[in-house]
Amino acid sequence: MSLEVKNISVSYGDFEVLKDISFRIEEGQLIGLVAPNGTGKTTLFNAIMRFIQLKSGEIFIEEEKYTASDADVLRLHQKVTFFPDQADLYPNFTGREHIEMYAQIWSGRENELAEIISRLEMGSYVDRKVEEYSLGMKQRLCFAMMVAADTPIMLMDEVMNGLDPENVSLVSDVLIELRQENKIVMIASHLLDNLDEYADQVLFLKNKKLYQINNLNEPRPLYYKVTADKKENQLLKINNFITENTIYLSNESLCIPIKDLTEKSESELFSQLRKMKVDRIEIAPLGTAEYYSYIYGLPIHSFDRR
Amino acid sequence: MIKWTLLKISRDWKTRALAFLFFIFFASFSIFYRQQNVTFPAVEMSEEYQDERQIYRLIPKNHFETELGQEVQKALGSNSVSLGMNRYILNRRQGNSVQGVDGLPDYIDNGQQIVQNNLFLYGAKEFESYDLLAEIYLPDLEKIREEERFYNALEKSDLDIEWNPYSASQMIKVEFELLAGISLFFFLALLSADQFTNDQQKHWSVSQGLPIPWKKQWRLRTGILWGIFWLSFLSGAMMSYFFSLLFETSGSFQYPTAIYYNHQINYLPLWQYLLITISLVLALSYLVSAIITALSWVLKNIYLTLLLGVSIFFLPQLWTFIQPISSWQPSLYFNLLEVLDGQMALKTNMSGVVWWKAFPAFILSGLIIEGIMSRVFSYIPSQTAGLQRRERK
Repeated sequence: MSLEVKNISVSYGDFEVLKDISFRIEEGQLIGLVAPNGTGKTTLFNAIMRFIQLKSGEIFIEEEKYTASDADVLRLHQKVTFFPDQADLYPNFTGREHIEMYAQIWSGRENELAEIISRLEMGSYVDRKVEEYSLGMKQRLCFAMMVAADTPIMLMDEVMNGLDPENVSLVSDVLIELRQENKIVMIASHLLDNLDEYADQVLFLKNKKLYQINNLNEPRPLYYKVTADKKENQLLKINNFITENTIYLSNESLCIPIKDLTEKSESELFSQLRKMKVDRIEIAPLGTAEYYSYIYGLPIHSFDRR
Repeated sequence: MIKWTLLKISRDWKTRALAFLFFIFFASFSIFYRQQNVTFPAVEMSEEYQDERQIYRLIPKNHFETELGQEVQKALGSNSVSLGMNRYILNRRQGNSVQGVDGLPDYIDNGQQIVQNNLFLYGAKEFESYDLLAEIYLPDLEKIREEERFYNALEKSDLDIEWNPYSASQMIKVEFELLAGISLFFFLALLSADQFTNDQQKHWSVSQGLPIPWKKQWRLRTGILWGIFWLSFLSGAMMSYFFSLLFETSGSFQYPTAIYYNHQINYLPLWQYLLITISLVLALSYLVSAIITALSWVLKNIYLTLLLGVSIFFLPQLWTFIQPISSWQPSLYFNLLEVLDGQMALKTNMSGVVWWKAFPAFILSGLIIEGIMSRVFSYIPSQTAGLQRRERK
């Protein structure tokens, strides 16, 4: 199973939201989709689902083209599910009924309901009406509905919304299990560090385009990540430790690529940093949160913000 | 999907409230109908009797002096006797004849005599006061023939004249006829106008993207709403019939009932008339429910859907201004009551507008709507605005 999107463009009237988006995802992958609000994450999902009209572009599943014809859209909806919005749930249905409905309509996995409910720790409330649920309970229910539908491709918009850390961890674990079942799961999320825990790739949308794809399974360049104030930053500059490719991030972080440093200068930098007693020194690849800060240009308003 | 659609609809408080209200309305129909002012046949007969006496006084005496005049006088006199006797029989409420008095003609004999007299009067064009007679007294020829058919049907059924318009069988007829009018459109519009709109506005992400064709979902919803409506109506009507049996005479389901076909009003046993009416309303109600449910998918404004749904009833009125091309035009049959009583045939000057043509007309309408919706369902419903075109690339 694979999902391929080719040259998708979407406009709302004269306002172009997405332009020439292309990517390909193989089976058994969790894909993070990252962008600030209003940049087109949900629109991209809606476009893949054919919930909106495409200006141009094509969608392929397993190398087969899915057009906008009624028959193709119906076949598409058999293979791809869209994460329900918790506000759209039926308040007079129980959680179990919602899960059973999705299971019956898509996968016929009604006999596995108990397993899904137990895995997502919903047993204590699943037989109550949804109108009595908290935000987090509803969110877990929406996720359970997707699991019950069991389609090979799942588009999850804001899946971690309203979940406490414990449930974020629980849902993350189940996402990893879905990968083991060879599902393709696209996750639009603002919990960027969480994405680093399980995502295979992270797609960044910027200026209507697919700006960058980070493959988290491939070796990534290492950086010296240093939290330094304005004075410390100046000192490092004077001593020529700040290379051309150094990245400044909004949280007073400097990320100096190791590949720009020789063994000698690396050693000198480390000594200098120890002398300066900076708050943090870390040698690691950039995480999604750091790329996010870098790509969307969150400015460093003040080095003195502590 | 049937289970979930049924659950969605039946758990909606509005649907439940409406189904309950429909049941109460139809169940209490006979009780409320008893409070209506209905003209009893005996009163009608008295009015006819008075008319007859009036014309007798209005015609100058010398016009009765000719041979034809004497025949006319005799016919009017005979009518006077027959009308008076039938009025008496109706007031006695004991059947078609006066009990305990042998040798007198019964209600049917009198009725048939009146018909014969009127037919004679209708042909007496040489009579000097014929214009006065025709203008004030005589019903038109078709009406006289209709009465003749009624008395013959009553004789054939071996039943007594129904003196009680509140009898259980007559009330169930009125209740069925109520459903054959605008109320059907109104009730169905209330029930169906928000069906898809509700899902699009309040449950969008849960109701979109299902791997089930919209057409199938549409038919399913239509069927369920139709079923709920008929469950309410039939259970209510049965209850109403039961109540009317408690308070009124039972009447008879064999009683001759007027229905238009073969270019004239004919009389069928009441049960046959009810069967025809209910079959027609069953078919029409499915069609109307399908149209309104489809509109609720297209439009996001419940009130507009409601208005358009109810306005379907008035489509046949268009053909009273414009001459229809054929009696097979489906829109001629949306006002069933006027089809059954022949009013539509009269208004459109098309004697071919008869009840049985409503079935093929409804099937044709259904096919047309299916065709339209096949096209419409390939559009994309949006959450808030209207439909979006889907490029078929």
